[in-house]
Order: sequence, then structure tokens, then C-alpha cells
Amino acid sequence: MKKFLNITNLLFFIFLIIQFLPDQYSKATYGRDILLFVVILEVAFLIVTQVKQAGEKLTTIKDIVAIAYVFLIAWQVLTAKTAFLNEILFPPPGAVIQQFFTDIEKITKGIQSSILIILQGYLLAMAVAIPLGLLGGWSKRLGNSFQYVSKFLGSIPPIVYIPYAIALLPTFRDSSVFVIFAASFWPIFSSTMAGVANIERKILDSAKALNVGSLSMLFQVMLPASLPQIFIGCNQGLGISFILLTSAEMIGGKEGLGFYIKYYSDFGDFTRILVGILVLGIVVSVLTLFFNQLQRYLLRWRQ
Amino acid sequence: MSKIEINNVTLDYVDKNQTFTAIKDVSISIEEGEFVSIIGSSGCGKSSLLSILEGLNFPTEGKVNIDGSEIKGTGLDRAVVFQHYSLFPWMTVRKNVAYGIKQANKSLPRKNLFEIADQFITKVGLGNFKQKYPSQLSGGMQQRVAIARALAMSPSILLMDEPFGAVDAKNRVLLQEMLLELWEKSDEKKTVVFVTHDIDEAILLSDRVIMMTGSPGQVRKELKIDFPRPRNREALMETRDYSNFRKELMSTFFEDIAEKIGGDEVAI
Repeated sequence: MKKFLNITNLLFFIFLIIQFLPDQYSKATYGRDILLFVVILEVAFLIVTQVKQAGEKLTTIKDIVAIAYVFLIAWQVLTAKTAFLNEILFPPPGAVIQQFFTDIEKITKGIQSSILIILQGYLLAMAVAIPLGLLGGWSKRLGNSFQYVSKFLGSIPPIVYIPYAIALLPTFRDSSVFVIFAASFWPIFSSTMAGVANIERKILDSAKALNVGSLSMLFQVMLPASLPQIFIGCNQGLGISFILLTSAEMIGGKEGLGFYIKYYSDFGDFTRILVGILVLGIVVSVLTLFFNQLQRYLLRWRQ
Repeated sequence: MSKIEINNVTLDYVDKNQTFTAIKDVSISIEEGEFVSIIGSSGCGKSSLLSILEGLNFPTEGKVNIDGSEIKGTGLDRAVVFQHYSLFPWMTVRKNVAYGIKQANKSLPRKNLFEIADQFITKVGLGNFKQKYPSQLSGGMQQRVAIARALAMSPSILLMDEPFGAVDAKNRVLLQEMLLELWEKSDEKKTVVFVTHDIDEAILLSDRVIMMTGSPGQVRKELKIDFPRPRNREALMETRDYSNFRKELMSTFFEDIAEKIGGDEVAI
């Protein structure tokens, strides 16, 4: 019994109690939807606490769920239960959840479109920037000039390429891929060059002593040796890509999550705007988490 | 013709218009199957000399021949064990060794590659650590792997640059004995050039000890160590010859330091 006495479960009960208070908003507050959501969250949480062994990780999970409850309680109290916030600008959590499931098809399509564009531009940038960066780091002569070129071109905010992208590439999709490519190229390229420059000289000596050929030197020695630094540039590139794509979708897109938010903001539909913002946050977090896990796996040789 | 012929080699490093002479007019001949140690204090040019043999540096003057032909760069006739970073940290023990073998013998099928790798890893006593990454091993274990890789590549010459210099005292003794055993027991004796600053290590392992002093680095003394093989550390240490060799090298070592400082009060 003592096991269930914790702040997270206490917050869950506070939320339940709050649900008994009368609604103050004039429109429907979808109290049942948010109640269902919170109950599902609590059940999942209880299962996790049963299955997982006690430790730092479990404490973190408990704390995160507790923070989510605090957030939901505040949201619910300030909107539906007290009408402290403006009814039109701040829909209650239940309405957002209800709207999410109503629009799920549209949202899934939007996520798909956004992720595909990001991945295309981003992977293309990696495929070109990493080999070029390795070459630039390898050849002193190339590296000397590349360094200045990348400083100059990398300092241009990639969004200014949009006029050219639109003029040259017929579809919104293609120009978005191009802009994301241009944006993530420079951080990946310069971090690769810096990574190669920072390789322990003895490792290169050791490779030379093994009589390693040029291709093997580039891709089996220099690439893995500079991988930790390459990933720093990749993460930067991914961050910029999302900012750019969302902006592009809001300005000129016909699909994607940015478009979804922009489209409904024209109607002042703040429930859907909130749905879009939250989904975007979740998508970016999940994708970042995925890349972080991938990087951790690829760098498992480090201590 | 000797296996390795170092003829009047001088090596200058140029840095910002300043020339620094690391080695001056060094000549050494090393016979096939001979174990030669080069000892000296830091800055005597011993590692620079080895880097020329490795093919990573080129003499400013003079020539180095291996089997009668001049060194043009790194080569598969030579395998190297450094003090640090011989291994690639992103490869497991097994992959590191297999990668070396693959470089030495490109046509070998993958299966045989790993078979040979496993064989040599077992020889250095790390059979249970095949799947570990270097960062998960102690310094001594890493050097064992580096030696396994060097031997697995079956070079005719083994170049070792203070390989046990960063290993703690107890493990250093174990590593020296392992190297001695592996070398003495091999069917085809490899030519070894072993750089160290440890006099006991040099005497125990070598057929000949060459002492260098700097700078610029020059050969100061050559000493033939004619103990029979296989050698045993405890037995050797009790002999009069051993203490004579040791004394002789020690005194040269301190003479050099005394000369440099300009007084004889430092000599013990």
C-alpha cells in the first residue's frame, strides 16, 4: 500500500476531485475526454511502476508524470473550472483532445508530409556534407579554403534562398527539401571538418602504419573517429530544419503541420492551433529522441 | 646485407623557420631475427628514429634500407606497436585484430580473418575479451591486443615504440615476459626494434642494446647482450653479467646527464 503513496498519485486524485467542480465556460468542455485521458495515463503509470525496478529511472518517470498532472490541473482549473482565461483563446484540455481525435486523419497526413520532407533534405545534406567534410579535413589545402567558404556561406540564413528555391523548383515540396538541405548542410559540413582536424594524430599514424588505403582511411578511420563531432553538427542541422520547415509550411505550404496551424489560425480556431502546437512538439521530441538513441548506439564504443 | 641498414641518417624538424635537429648522423645495422633495443632519456631522438623506420618520417640526410631497398613509406613488412592509440577505439578487440590482418592480406576470406584474429587474441590471453571495446580494457590489456594485431599481420619486422611505457609496474613485467615468450617460441624469428627508457627491460629482451643521447640524437654506446635463450628473468638477474651490463648502461646514462648539466655532482 505504501508503494502507492506518492506525489504523482496524489496529483491524480486532485485532478479527479477537480472534475467534480462545475464548468464555467459556456461551450462544451469535454470533461469526459480529458478524464479518460488522465485515467489511461494513470493506468499506464501504475503498470510501469509495477514492472520497472526502483531506481533513478523510475523516479524520473514518476516526476515527469507528476509534472504532466500539475500542468493538466492548472490548465483545467484556469480554463473550464474558473474561466480565468479567455474562452476563445484558451480551450480546455478536453476540447484539444477531442479535436485531436476528430482530426486524426488530417494530422497523420500532415506529420507524414513534414517528416518526409525533413528526412529527404536532411539525409541528402548528410550524404553530401559528410564526405566533403572528410575530404576537407583530410587535405590541408582543401581544408584551408573550405573553412572560409563554409564560414561565409554558412552565415547566410538559409531562408533567404526561398525565392530561388521557388523560382527553380516547381513544387512547394521540392523547394522545402532544398531549403532544408541548404540549412543543415553547413553545420554538418563544418563539424565534420572540425572532427577530422581533431582526430588524435596517433590514431592516424596507427592507420598509416597499417598501410590503410585512401577510401578505407576516409570511411573506416576518419569517419568513425570524427563521428562524435559530426553528430553535434547533425543535431544542429535537425533543429534548424524543423524551424525552417514549419515556417515554410506556414508561409506557402498546402500540407504539413505548419500549414495545419496556419490554416486554422485564419479562422481563429484556437483549439486546433493548440492541437497543432502540441503534436508538433511531440513529433520533434520523438524524432530527436530517435536520433539520439541512434547516436548513442553508434558511439557505444565511447566510455 | 643486414635486414635493416640505417646509414648516416640525420633528421631535421623545421618549425617556423627554426630548424631542430632530432637525429644527427646515426648509423645502425640490424640483422635478420635480431632483437634490438634503443634506449635513452626523453628527447634523445629514439622515437624519431623509429618513426623513420615506420615510414611516417623521412630522413633529411642519409638513407634507411630494408632488405637492401630504401624505405618509401609505411609498409606491410613492418608492424608497429605504439605506446598509446595503436588500436581503433570504435572497433572491438576482435575487429581491431581482424582489420589489421585484412590490411596485410586483402584476399583473405572474412571467415579466416576472424579465425586468425581469435587465435592471436587467445595467444595474448584475452580470449574472453574479444567483444570488448578498447575503452573497456586496462592499458596493459590494450597493449596485448596491439601486440596480437602486430603479430597476426605476420610482418618480418616488429617496431615497438615504448609499448609498455604507460603500463603499471606489475603488468609491465607480465607483458615483457609474454613478449619474450611469443618471440622466442615463434618458428620464424622476427626482427624487432624496441624503443624504451627502461634499462632492465632492454637487457631482458634484447640481443643488443643501443644507447642514444641527445640532442641532437646520436648513438652513444652499443652493447651485445649474449645471454642464452630462452631467458628467465630471475635467473638472469642473479648473474654478474647482468649487473655489469646494467652498471655500464647506467653510467653512460648519467655521464650524459652530467655533461648536459655541466657538473659531476649529479652522478650518484
